[in-house]
Amino acid sequence: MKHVLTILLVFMISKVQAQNQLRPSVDLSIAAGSSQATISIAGWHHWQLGKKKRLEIGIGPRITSYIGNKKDFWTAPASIARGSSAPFLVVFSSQETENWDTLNVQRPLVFSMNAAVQVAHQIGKRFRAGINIDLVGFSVGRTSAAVFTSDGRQETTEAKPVPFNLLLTGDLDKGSLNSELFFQYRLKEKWSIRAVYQFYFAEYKTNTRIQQLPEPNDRFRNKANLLGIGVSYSLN
Amino acid sequence: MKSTLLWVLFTFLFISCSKEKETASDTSNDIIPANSVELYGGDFVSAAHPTSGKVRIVSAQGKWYLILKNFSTDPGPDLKLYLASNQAAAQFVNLGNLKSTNGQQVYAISGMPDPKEFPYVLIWCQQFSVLFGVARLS
Repeated sequence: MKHVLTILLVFMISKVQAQNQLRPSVDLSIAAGSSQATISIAGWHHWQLGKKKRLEIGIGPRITSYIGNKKDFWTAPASIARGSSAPFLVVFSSQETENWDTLNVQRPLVFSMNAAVQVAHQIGKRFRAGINIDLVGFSVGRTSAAVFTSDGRQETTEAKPVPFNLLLTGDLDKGSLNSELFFQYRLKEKWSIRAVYQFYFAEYKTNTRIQQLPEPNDRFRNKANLLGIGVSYSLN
Repeated sequence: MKSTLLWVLFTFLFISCSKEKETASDTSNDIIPANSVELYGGDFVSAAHPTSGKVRIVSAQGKWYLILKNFSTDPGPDLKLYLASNQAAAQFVNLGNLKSTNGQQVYAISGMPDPKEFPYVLIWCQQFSVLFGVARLS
């Protein structure tokens, strides 16, 4: 989903006209999946586009707190995990699963703060739908015990979140990045409720390059599919 | 205030999830296999928590078993039984969740690992990487 979002959002940014009306808002979402969950809060500045001003593009900061319990993280670098590490093509390249090793992070906890972009469309008076994605930022989090598994052999190790986040499409991404597909229903003038599907990349790094084959590696990624709810508050 | 409440609820949900992993299996059916032959044995010594008892690795009818006798350790979350290369579990074979914190227990070992490579039996809290007790096989 991330590459589609990226292409779409880059296209939309080029269409933004700064003179259009500014609509700030704040979103709070809680999402959960199998033994993992997130809480995220985002502040958006939206520009309304088009004659009817139904299309919006927004930018803003988003903080996502991710927590999990005994989650598997797999070999992250595209150069090992995928057949191609060329930007965008990486998304369509083969998954080199024979190169994947597993890092089971016992108590993952990541706080990521990223700049994000959003595209939304007003549907009627009360409904709104859109997508958003994190672009760049940083992460902090808990160092956790972890179990590394390669070819059936298991090792005890420690891992911590990768500190720098950058959207580069697919498995080229670095760090922890959030993206959402959302539907919103306006309850009152300023308050809306949201239903969200979140796709969250969380990345942990071991103290040493614990994976040796096919090349040394210390980065491991969990791709979390999460469903959640939230609220949105319009600031004007 | 609302965000604080959400965090408390959030944290509570996850802490309560880890409860199910605490040691609580029925070991009343753990009977030492008949005609078993002892291959290796050792005594537990305490590490981070008081641990005592004996460990034996036996073979019977072409299968291998690890037996804990007169065993006792403290309760803890996510306790595992490892055959390990050292006391830090640098490399290990996971024999599964510790069935009970006391009494006799029998664990099947699939594909007996080389005891020269894995000479330690660990009572190991996997979630927090804490060694409860250890026995050296000889």
